[in-house]
Amino acid sequence: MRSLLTRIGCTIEELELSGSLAECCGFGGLQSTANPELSDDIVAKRQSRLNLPAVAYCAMCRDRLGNETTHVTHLLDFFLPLNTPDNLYRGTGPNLSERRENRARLKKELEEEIWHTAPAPGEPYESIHLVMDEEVRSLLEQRRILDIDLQRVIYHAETYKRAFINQDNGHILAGLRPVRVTYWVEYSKENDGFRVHSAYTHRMLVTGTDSLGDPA
Amino acid sequence: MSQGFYPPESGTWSCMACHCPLEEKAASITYLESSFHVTLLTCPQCGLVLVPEHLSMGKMFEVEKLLEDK
Ligand SMILES: [Zn+2]
Repeated sequence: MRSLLTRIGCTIEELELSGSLAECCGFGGLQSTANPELSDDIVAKRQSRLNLPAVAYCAMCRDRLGNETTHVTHLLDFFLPLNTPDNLYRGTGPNLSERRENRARLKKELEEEIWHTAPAPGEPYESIHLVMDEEVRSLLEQRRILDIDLQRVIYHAETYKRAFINQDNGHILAGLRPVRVTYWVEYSKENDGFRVHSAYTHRMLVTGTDSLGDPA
Repeated sequence: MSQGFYPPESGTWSCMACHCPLEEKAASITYLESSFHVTLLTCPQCGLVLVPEHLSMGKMFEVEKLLEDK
């Protein structure tokens, strides 16, 4: 890593703690899932010691440590053909749903441009347009709920009218179990889309709730 | 998990398909070979059951963890 960077003209300054003393980004061993508070502490500590733009060779370090104030670039970005020193990505990492969408987009591009295979037909629920504020977005991140999970529930509810409606404010509440987890979404219609107010999950199976494949 | 009644924390909910108010009804919850009974709001016509957020993220979540650790 150091010799690659030197070769393209970067001047390297070592971190205070490196080699066997290097600090973790808080993702290792899925710590960010098992103990999110501790993991966030570790990230903040590590960021506080980065005074210069940093380079990471691990994708999780890049995404967890990089944000608008702590600039972190992935090593590979320096060498990709379309990148120039000015357009290297170094900001905040993608959220859970964006991460999934990135993977899906990459697969689609590879299918079209490299493998020349017919792309899989899109699912009908993909047309469900979601709107939510920052607070709801971060709740969903914390609860590990993806946009695609919400889209499936709302599509099912709207298609089969399997949902509850709150007479006080018009909010709709619907649940669906695609495989092992039941997702519930509280939402309302807004223009051409659906505003998400909250969402939650449970693994326990409750009689009288819908699973995929058995509407009504 | 007790046999308690767990309505949503707020709102007057009805079934979107049947347009009727919900009623208290016993529902069974199963997970990893254990099963429980609770009372939940249910549509009297189509039988759709409402699992509220506080039950899902509270008691159910705790019991799921307990059973997974067994
Ligand atoms: Zn009904």
